[in-house]
Amino acid sequence: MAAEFWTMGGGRPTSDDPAVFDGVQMAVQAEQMGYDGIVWVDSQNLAADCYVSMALAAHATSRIQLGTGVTNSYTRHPAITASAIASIQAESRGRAHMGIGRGDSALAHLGLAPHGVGEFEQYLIQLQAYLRGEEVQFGETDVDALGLADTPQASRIYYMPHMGPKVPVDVAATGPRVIQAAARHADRISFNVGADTDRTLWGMEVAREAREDAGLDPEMPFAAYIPLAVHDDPEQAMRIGAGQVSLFARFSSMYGTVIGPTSGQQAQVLTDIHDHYDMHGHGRPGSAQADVIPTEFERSFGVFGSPDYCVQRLGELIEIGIDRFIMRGSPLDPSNPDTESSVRFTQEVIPQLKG
Amino acid sequence: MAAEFWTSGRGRASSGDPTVFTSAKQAQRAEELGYDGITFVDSQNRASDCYVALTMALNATSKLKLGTGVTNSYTRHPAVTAAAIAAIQAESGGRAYLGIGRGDSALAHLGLAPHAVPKFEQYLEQLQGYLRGEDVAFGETDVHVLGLADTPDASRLEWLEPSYAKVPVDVAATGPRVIAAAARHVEQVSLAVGADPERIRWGMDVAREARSEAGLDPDAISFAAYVPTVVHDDAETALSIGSAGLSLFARFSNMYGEIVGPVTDTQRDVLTKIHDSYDMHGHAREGSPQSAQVTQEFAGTFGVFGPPDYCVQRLGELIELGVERFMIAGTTLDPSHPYSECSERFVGEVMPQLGSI
Repeated sequence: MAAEFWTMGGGRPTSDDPAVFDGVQMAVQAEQMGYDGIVWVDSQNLAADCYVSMALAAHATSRIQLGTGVTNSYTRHPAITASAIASIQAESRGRAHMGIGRGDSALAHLGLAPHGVGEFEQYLIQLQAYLRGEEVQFGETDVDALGLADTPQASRIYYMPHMGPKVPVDVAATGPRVIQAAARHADRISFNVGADTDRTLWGMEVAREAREDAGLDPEMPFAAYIPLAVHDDPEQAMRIGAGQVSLFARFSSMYGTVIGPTSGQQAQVLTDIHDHYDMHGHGRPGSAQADVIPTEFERSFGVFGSPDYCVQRLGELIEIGIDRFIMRGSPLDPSNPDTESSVRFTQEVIPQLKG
Repeated sequence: MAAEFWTSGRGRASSGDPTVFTSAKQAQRAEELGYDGITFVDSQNRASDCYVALTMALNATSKLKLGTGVTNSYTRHPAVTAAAIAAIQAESGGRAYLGIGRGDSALAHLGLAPHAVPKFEQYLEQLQGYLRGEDVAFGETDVHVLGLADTPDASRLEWLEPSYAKVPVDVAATGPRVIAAAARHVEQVSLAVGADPERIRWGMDVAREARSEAGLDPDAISFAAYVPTVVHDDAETALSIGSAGLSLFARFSNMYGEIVGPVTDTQRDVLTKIHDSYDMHGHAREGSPQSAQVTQEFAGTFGVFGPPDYCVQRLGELIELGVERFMIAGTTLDPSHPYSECSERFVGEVMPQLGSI
């Protein structure tokens, strides 16, 4: 199967200012450019609601796949998350995708560290059952206090069979325990370990082993979140994608301990990113965490350069089994000259990799 | 100010089946008929997502007000609820409204009773803080385990533009503790106590007293009412059309087997029977055991079922008392449904007499 190439949107609502390039325009633009999918981050303090953006995008586009990138297992009950993404599935006639993680900026802005892995796995189990239209057992229950003559004994989303094909669940994962939980319960894993083939292979092995241990077929689809910008001058490409590497690289050193195979220099940079990380500068160029990244690390963790260089780097990942890329770094706004990076990616990189 | 009349919809996603009366079609129809607003219920196991429904509705309409009717304080973090309704506000050009309660069917289908009143009140405080664009203090926090160099020390919706009007919050309330909590924190209380003026007056008094005790202007709050209403020249037929909605709303006055607010003996008897027979599987459904308990006499006070002039008289009494908005429950909007004529007659023959249009 040919690899898919997805981009990321932002929940920017329409305002009276026509200069605002909103979340829906991003989807329209991404579809016109030829991306296969677009995801919206669910980070309620930093961006408008992802399901509102997706519903508007479902209406404004006809082909592009639409997903969360990512939601989390904390801020909504799993029945709500299942109901919301299934509603998008129906409104988009089967183009919905559920990307989920333990919560980073969404939880940090509530004063919280990412959700515990045990709770995350429990959430995945319930979410998948709701999405399959199955009954989900109640947890702690106190509905008896109402003295109803009769009441449901388990939880099920009654209309799920009418919402279209089951929405696939994709876990954004970096650490081995999250990869293992995802391998047991999700339909796909999207690695957040950079564009390094050794680290990606390590993640795949962790996943396959967990599936074997659980008595499942070890093979499952894998995707990768990649900071990427296309420009003939790598320096310019890194300028366009500034702020993205620190955002994604931090996941490999979330609590100060470096995860997965790394060289001594990679480990040092990941530690420096952790130690300097200011959540106020999350994903922003010029932040304290972005400033500690040497060029060599930036170019190995992300993909920044000419079309042929991007083809070679992404091709290596396709070779080892990545069949979807979710890329962040190139704008979609036609009024921004750096959008040329996205145009060249879709015109000069994707065709070579799809061919 | 003339009273407003809102109708209620239900999240129904378009799955490609043109016969589905989708959320967008419901809103379009409500706007065409002349309702002031529409609310979508947030009950995730029974209806598709209310914010997706509101989004499809805002796309299909231009002036209709759009709200939740109701969401609850349990299934989403208050920051998520605020972000969702604020996104609807921005995308609709200021037509959004947030209706909220403690959670009935949404929580029952998760095995839970309604959210406790103190937690509900705290949720309202946080929700209002977020919607006003203010800093909301963290509750229990463990973000320090990440060892970040710097991190926010309070929570705020940073993307909110000052140009967006604040979304008004309206609490659907029946019991005195919920009415009092709402009176302290929100812009409007929607009383779900039936159409009996005595009970409406009681609810208003509870709210005003709570505001006075909190040092707030007792009159600086507006009131709405959830009123099961069906227009039909024959009152018995009207009740048969609306009995499921009536039993749904009447139960709130006897949620735990203890009747709330002033009642007559007849009302007490029927409210007890509704509670004792209530089957959550039949919530809002015709032919349920609970809808079989409503009598014509009970319906004559708790709901509004009859010809247009009768509806005008009954709703007019409530407007006199100070009800500014009616959440009309009980009649379908679907033009292919034989009872949709009730909605058309309400808009055509009742609303004009009450001065809305």
